[in-house]
Amino acid sequence: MKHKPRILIADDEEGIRESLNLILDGEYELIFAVDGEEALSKINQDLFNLVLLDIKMPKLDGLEVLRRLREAKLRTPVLVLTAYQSVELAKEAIKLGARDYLPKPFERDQILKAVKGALLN
Amino acid sequence: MDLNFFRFITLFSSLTLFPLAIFIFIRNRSSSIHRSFAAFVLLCATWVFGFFLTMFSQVPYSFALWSSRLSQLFGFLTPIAFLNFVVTLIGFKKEAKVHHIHWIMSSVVPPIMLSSFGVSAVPKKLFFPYYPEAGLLYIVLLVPFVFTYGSAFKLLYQEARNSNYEPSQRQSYATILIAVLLAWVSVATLFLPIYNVYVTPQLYFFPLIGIATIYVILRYQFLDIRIILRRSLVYSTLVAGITLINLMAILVMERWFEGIFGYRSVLASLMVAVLIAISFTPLRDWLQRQVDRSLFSATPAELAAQKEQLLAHIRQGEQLKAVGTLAAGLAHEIKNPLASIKTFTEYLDTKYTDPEFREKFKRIVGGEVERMNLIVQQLLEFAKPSPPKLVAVEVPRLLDDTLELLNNDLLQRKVRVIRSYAPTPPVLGDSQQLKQVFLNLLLNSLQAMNGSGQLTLKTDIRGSELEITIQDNGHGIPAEDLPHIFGPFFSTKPTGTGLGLAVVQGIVKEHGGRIQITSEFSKGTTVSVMLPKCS
Repeated sequence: MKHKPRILIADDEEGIRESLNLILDGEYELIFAVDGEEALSKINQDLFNLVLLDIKMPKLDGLEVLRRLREAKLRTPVLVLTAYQSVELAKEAIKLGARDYLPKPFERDQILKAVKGALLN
Repeated sequence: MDLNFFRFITLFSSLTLFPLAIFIFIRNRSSSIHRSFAAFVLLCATWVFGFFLTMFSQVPYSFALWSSRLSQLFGFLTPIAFLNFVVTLIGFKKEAKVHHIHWIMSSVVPPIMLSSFGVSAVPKKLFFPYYPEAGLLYIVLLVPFVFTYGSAFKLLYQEARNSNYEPSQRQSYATILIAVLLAWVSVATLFLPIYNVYVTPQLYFFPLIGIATIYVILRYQFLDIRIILRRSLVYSTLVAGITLINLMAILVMERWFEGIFGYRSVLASLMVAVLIAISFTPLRDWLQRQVDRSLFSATPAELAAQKEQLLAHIRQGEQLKAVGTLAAGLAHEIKNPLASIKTFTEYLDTKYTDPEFREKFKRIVGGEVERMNLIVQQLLEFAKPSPPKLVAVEVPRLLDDTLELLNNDLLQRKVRVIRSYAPTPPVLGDSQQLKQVFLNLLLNSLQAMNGSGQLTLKTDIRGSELEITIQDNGHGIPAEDLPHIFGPFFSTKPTGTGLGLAVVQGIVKEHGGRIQITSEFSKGTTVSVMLPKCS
């Protein structure tokens, strides 16, 4: 039986988690985190093929999560999702090791394509 | 004019020009413009100082001869130094060949001037104990003296008329040009006695080089040299100067009277003193106005108006910045709900028959719409709070009413409430808006405490104000977040629009009050609201 790729979705907004669940459910095994601390804890405890990470989260924001992943030399690919439209933020996220930067609101096909691309690499 | 006058002029000029040259060089020694102008000024200083040294019959002849030769040497090098400065200043590259020609012409100056072909002797002429006499080749050196200065004047004149420059820059160039031109005309008269034309040289304008340079530095920040000149210092110097002149006027009048009538008259001196006293204030005021216009660009009233305009620009810039921050925050708060609504509506046609989807759709889409509505509502309140309806209100009663609303929450979270209300007069306030303030603050405190916390409410009088303190022992606010706590869309909570405290601050300000938050992370937070007492 083929194992489905495991994707961690870290976002404090229930609406976003449910939206991504709608888009990705079936093809992938989805695990959720509601803040940066929970996301980091889960990444440290378990293996994931991909992380979808929001920037603005309580306790620990997305950029800090990226920073700590880089320090720990964890190579889990990360796609950053955010409602902030900031070139500086995008550059910072990529500099910290994110594979890609996706704006909100997102297109279903855009998410599917980005996830497939990140998993292939 | 006599010898003393020339001694004074030459000494004054050299004492002005030497420190000026050093000052310009030190201000920015790495700048070629500064270096070239300092070189020109230094050469002028050494030229005129050498001339000064020959005005004393006590010096030996040979000393006077070599002073004269060196002085003339430096003087004849000033044209190329000035041209070099002008060319460097305007970045003139086009006529590089011409520039080289001037350098070549000037290269013959030292060997000629330091020999008898330049200055052959220094005999007594007019009232000067020593005065240079032209050697055979002296006249050759006049060619570059005229030609090189002419080229420099022409270039600087063109730049002074160049409308691409700022007016202050053009004014600086024009001032320097006029000063050097007049000084050059002055100096040209020195050549007449050299060729035995016994006309007294007219050196009046030579000090203009130093005076004009100082003026353009102070007035137009020439060479990017910025000196803050205290207005009070200039005024004091002006008053001291006027007083000194007036004293001298009294002394001169006394002597004149004595010269005519043969005796000193106290009455005459008194009359002069009275005249001076009457004219002192108008003269001082007139001179101050001229100083304001020439050195400070504007009168104090004009400066105040300029300052107000500048402050208005800064305020406008800050307002635009605030609007930008607000827009970015609002965009972020709206885009998250929109993302959820968009995705759920995209799946509506394929998943409509799924009851679980329908339930989620109702909950999430409905919730997000409400959330956006709340954001817009709070934003309106924040942007334009309704004016408070001010009546005398008892603050302790409002606090108790608000606590009543939160009774269930307090019980569920097992929060202990301590009230400490000192006897306080009423405040002028809108009871609904103040309840909203207290509700916001108390809710924040409750949310910060995770069970079995303690909430302390105090009222007290602080001078003309009533202080309301709400203190909790919740998780506190990190120090780095405190400066932003009242900013719109700033939130440390997982839920909330981030506008609550911004609205609270707005209401408190509308009441003529102020709010302050102190906090220690993981220890607790204290909020102080100060409201003016009823008078």
